[in-house]
Amino acid sequence: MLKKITSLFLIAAIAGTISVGCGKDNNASISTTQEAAVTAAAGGSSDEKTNPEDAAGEITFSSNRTDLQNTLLPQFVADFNKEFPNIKVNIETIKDYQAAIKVKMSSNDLPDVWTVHNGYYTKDQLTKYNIPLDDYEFAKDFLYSEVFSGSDRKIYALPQGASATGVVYNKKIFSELGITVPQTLDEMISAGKKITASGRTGLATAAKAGWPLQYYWLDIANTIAGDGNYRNTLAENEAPFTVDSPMGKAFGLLKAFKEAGILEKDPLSSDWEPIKKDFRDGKVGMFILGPWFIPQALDPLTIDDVGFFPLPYDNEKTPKKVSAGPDVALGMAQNTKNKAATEAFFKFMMDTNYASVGKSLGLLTARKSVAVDIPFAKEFESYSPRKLDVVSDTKAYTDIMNKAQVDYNKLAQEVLVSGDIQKAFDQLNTKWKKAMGK
Amino acid sequence: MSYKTQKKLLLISFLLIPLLLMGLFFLFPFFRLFYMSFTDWDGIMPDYNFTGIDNYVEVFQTPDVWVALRNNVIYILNGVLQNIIALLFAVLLTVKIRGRNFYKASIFLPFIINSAAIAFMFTFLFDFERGPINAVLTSLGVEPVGFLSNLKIVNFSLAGISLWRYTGYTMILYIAAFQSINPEVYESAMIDGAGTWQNFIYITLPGIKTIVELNLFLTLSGGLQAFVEPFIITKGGPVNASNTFVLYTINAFTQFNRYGFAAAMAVVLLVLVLILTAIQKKLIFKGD
Amino acid sequence: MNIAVNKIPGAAKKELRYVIADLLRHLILLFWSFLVLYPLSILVFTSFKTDEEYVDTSVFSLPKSFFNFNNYIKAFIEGDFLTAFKNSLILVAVGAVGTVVIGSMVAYCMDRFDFKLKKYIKLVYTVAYIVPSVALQVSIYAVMKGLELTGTIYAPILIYLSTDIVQLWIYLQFMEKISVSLDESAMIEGASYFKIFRSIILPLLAPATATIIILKSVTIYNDMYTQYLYMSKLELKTATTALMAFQGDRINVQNLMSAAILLVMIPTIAIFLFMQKYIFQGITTGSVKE
Repeated sequence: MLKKITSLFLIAAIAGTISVGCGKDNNASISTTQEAAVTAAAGGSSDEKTNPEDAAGEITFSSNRTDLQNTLLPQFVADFNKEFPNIKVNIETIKDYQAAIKVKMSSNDLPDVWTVHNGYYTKDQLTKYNIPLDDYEFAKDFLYSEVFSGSDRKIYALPQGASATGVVYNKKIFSELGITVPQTLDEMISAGKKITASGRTGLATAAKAGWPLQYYWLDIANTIAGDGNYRNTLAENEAPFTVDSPMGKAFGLLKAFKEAGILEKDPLSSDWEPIKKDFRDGKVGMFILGPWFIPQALDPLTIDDVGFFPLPYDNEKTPKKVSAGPDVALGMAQNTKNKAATEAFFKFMMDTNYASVGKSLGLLTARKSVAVDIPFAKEFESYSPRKLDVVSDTKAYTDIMNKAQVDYNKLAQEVLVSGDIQKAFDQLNTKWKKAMGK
Repeated sequence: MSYKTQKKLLLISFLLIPLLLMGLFFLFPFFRLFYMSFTDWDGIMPDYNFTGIDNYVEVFQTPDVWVALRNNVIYILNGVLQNIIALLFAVLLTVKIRGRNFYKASIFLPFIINSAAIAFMFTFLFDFERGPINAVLTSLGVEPVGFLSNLKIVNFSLAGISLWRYTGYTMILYIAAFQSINPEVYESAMIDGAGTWQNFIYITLPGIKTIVELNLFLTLSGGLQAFVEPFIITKGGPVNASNTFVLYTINAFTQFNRYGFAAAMAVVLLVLVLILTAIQKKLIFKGD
Repeated sequence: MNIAVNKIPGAAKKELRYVIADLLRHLILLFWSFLVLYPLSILVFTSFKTDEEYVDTSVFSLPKSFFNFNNYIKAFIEGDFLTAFKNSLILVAVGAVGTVVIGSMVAYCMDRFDFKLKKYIKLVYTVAYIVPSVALQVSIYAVMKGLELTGTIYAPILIYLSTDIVQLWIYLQFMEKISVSLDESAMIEGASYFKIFRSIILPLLAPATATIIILKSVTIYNDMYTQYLYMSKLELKTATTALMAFQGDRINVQNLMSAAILLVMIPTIAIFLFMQKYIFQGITTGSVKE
């Protein structure tokens, strides 16, 4: 008898495995159809104002900003509750955000309103799991919404702010050492050398953390190429990585900075949090990233002590191009159980309270009609940077990237280790070619 | 009620829930994983294609995977060292010795500390510019060491953290195992005039055979599964210097949407451990 | 040791050997203890320093006062550790007890009975240990979603109870040593299998049970990923997730962080100190008895 029960059990387990694995398709498409039916039946409900008294229930709002868990995020929710007292917003901040979100996405269990980072999700994924935003009036006012479009060209997330890549610098150090804002690459390097000679770090990299190096391949390569679509064009080439290609030159910059000795003493030991602290304590002169960093760089430095200028990636005296694009975005999940409440909160964050949220997060505005009052934005504009808009990754490009499992940040670390860009690129080209199926 | 009926009843009632749990939370996920390793599933979208054994071939043909495995070997060797030290401590501590409880507690203490806290502590300890270890070294006139940035030693630094952390755990298992040996066996041996060393080889070691087997198994699989320390502290860096097999597997899914590939890697790991455990069993326990 | 033995010549040499051996023992153990306690003591010192002290003094120096509990209080309140401890306690209590019950029951079946599935069960438990749980998370989450348990405290509990080979092996090790004759004599008196399990086997497994409680409690308490995935709601904060959340921007305020870390460690140390009496009592091995 025991034998029969156990074997039945095992059969059920295995059968269950296969059926769920295959059947998932059916379940997912059924829920999508139901959602579509509800939205269609409701007509243009997305445009009507949600009545504060009616909207009630619990929703979840997720972010990777664990550092804001007890400060800004509850503040946003408290402000929201002034207008919508019956909606309970559960704030979830997760440190290893991508890993957790992907697991949830896989089971169609995303948080109602969740933070969407550019470049981590494919167009198909966004289309399948998020609510399209095209019909919301305020969505039309957004810049860079194309970056978060799905495979059906509809928009699936909207940016909370915009960012540009440039150099954040410590004004106090500059004036103390008599340095003016560099306009050419040589000036940049000599500025770095002066700062390093004074016992500080000329240009920080936080190379140990990996991701702070992303600006080299993500943005600088594009600005050197003068083409926001540059990275996508790599998908057309079998062996696109050469030393004198824009990508090669971008890494070449990193190499030049290292060889000039203006980086940290041991860049590969330099981690994100310690270097942030060093910046705050006035031990770092410059750092290549976006202006979102500035609110985190204060205290004891004040907002007047920190500035932002475009990176001079060559020795031409022409105005520099900068890569400008969206910062983090918010999206609404299709699997939400309380659409009215979700919409109310989303609207609050992206529309009614957009400017103050953006200001607290230190983001430049991503809306045409809403200005965010940020001091260093003025300084940045004074250098007349030519903005190159960020373009979303094409499917062709992401397919190859994922198949070849290319990690550019590790590539950047490799450059710091060996300085041999050609060798690193050769390995990359082999992987690339293989992933293209050639 | 006859014992025969009782037996059936007991087996069912005792095993039903554990097996159910096992089925839901291991068997099902595992078979699904195994099934998906033959596809190109990205782990998220409902559609996928069958790719046969392509993923497996790719696993063996990816050089970075072998780099990661090579790093795992360091963790395995570290694990063997850990067992030797733990056994030594267990032996030293079963003898009545002054301060015995103090030693037991302090050796076990690192195991209790949270992973995040350990990462925090050691990142600080190993810090190139601000850490105490390098501070001591520089005061002695020695060049500071890049514990976590030097490609040659980063794995040893991380394995060292593991050693510091888990020796107490292994030791506890050995001590518990010693408790299970009947003291009468030792008494009769003493009457026959056996010395400490002989006691150890002929009574203790065989007596704790099950736990020794367990510990060696934990060492092997633990070494191949090394993941937490590199994940939190170095993310496998610099470049791939401290990457491990499991870390690579996780990244394949979370970073590159290659669930099928990651699944294949997990299955390869399983087979690897099973083979190595079988070999280990034959070599060490032959003739038992 | 018999005092009379000392009077015999040649025994003096033997005693010297014991003294040296004893000294060596202490040296080895002290060395390792130092390796353990030194970094921890730095943590302790730092946790008692005020913000000014922390910036101004060297890492190795002692704090002005060991009674400066400000950092601890601040961490406790700002990190909402009351909720965190409550939730962790629930996880540990249910998880540890459940593990003991399930583990001992399965071990009893595996050791005392023969049945067709025995080999397979052992194989499954072994395999379950080898496959890293992180690799299975996607599918486990799907099961939890199907059972509507995501975002609840039940999900991690079920996961903790489901696969752990260590407890099984520890119980097996002990059960092997419990003589079957005990079972047999009980059976002669007509005791049921269940009665044997409850009244004879379980009590004799006490040291194993104590060991398992300690090991499992610590593992559950410190587990990160599962708690993150299923308990990220604010009310379901656990000691580990609270610590991670508390870290946020404070990671460089090391005096505060040290206090938070030590705060989190306190419950587990308490469990260890309480339970260790049960593991380490009694039997000594070797030929030296004092």
